[in-house]
Amino acid sequence: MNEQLIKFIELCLMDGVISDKEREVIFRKSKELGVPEDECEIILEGMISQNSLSNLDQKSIKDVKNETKKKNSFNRKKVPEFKLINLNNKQSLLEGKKLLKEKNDGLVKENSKLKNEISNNIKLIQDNSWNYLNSLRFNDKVLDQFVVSDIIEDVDEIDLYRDENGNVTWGLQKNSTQRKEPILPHPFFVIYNYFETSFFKRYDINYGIDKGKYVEQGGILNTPIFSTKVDFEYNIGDQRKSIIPEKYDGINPTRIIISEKNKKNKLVFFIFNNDFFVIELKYSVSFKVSDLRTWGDLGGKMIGYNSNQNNHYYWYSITRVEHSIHYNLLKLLNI
Amino acid sequence: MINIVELSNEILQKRKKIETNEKKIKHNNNSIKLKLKSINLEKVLNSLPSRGIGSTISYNKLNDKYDVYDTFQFNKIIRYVVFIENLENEYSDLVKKSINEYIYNPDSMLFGTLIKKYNFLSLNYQLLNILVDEVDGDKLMFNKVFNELEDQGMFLTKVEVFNMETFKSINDSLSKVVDLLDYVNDNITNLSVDVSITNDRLDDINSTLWSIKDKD
Repeated sequence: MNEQLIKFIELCLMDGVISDKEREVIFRKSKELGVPEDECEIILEGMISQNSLSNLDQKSIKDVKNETKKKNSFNRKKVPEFKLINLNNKQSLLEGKKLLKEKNDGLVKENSKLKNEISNNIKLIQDNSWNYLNSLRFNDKVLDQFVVSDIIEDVDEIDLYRDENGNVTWGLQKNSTQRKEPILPHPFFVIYNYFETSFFKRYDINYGIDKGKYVEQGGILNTPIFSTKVDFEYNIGDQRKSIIPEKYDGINPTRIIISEKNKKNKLVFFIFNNDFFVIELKYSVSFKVSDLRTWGDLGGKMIGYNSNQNNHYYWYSITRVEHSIHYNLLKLLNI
Repeated sequence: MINIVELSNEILQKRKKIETNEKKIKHNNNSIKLKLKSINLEKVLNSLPSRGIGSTISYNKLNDKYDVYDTFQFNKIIRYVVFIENLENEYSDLVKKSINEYIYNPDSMLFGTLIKKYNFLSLNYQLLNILVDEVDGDKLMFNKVFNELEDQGMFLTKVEVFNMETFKSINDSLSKVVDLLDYVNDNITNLSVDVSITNDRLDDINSTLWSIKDKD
């Protein structure tokens, strides 16, 4: 094909159409270039139709783009930027943690020091307890809460004291009709006459008396019926038993100190040549009423009951005295 | 002579001091634990998105594909988009609260709730993504998800939801949807099951759904 002719036709097709004048010139030019007229005709028609198709494609693409643009811009939302949470307090938290750890280290150290001091103080107390107890005099304060009420220093005197106080001579007086606070058993009675088998224990079921309790005294209302002595003559039964620790059996103390905090709380210190022990006594007292008819004939006779009398029997129950033995003063000092 | 009572009082005072110190130590140890918790929480929170943007991306995609949906389905899907938008708002609120509380109250239940919300939102993004992407692709998958969401009452109006109290168990129900889909990967099935397991994986959760870029 004649390239010169083709370029010329392309020039004429720049505006997309071939005018009659341009057609005439193209045919003249083909003649000059030696291209037969029919061949020129084919080339020209081919190029015109190719140009039309190309224009059509351009138009379609443009239209589609315009439509899409229109469609996509409608209601389109801007997507926010994706961001992770951004926190940056790790360092200050670590510093806070370090500070607390340091504080704790200081506190642990301080506690360790305090514990050492306590341990030394305890040793001091233990080393000086015996001297302290030996220094106590009548009416002195003991361990800040008790007061010395009696001191026995002579062994013979101790025996005497024991004989004197190891019996029951307490309770309401004979013929008393009033309700009174009971006089509690002397510590020596408790310590040296601690019994497990007694009249009341043996007959407790029959007479409605709790096991292991001392019964002090009672009286039928307005009618005194028996003395406390009678009562406890039964109590001090066959099996007398002291609560002195076994290892001190047969060893006489050099000193006994009786002290009391109040009526129901007493301390008895038994001091020996090198050591000591303390018996702590706690009494519990309650006022009770029994119906004598439940005591039966034997019990009734025993306490002097007769059927003409009021059936109600008033009595104090002294709960079995609680006692604990200490071989140093620490617990008594709440240490 | 040594005053035994004074000594014993001294001992008692020292014991009190020891007791006070031990209380302080206990308190400090507790504070240390809380600080460690806060540090861990900060790590977890920093791995979470500050807000959910999935609904906006889907919104644009849905507009682009409007012609592909039938109107009936499209309206229902829009309802689902609104549901997800609400979830996103709740998530954002929880993020704000968590940021305010993680230092002073790391034991709060808030963080568990946040993680659960995150998981639930992720799950819904997955499902919405299927509704958007597969409408002109895997039609079967599209219809499975659509039908299941419809069965679970996800397309109900507010009034209908209120009356039927259906949303109570939507989280669990949606997990059933997940079981149906081979398309949905293992991550999703585990999402609403165990928060603690999820916590461990949080570092890796730059989910494509959360970080998705608008392709257009």
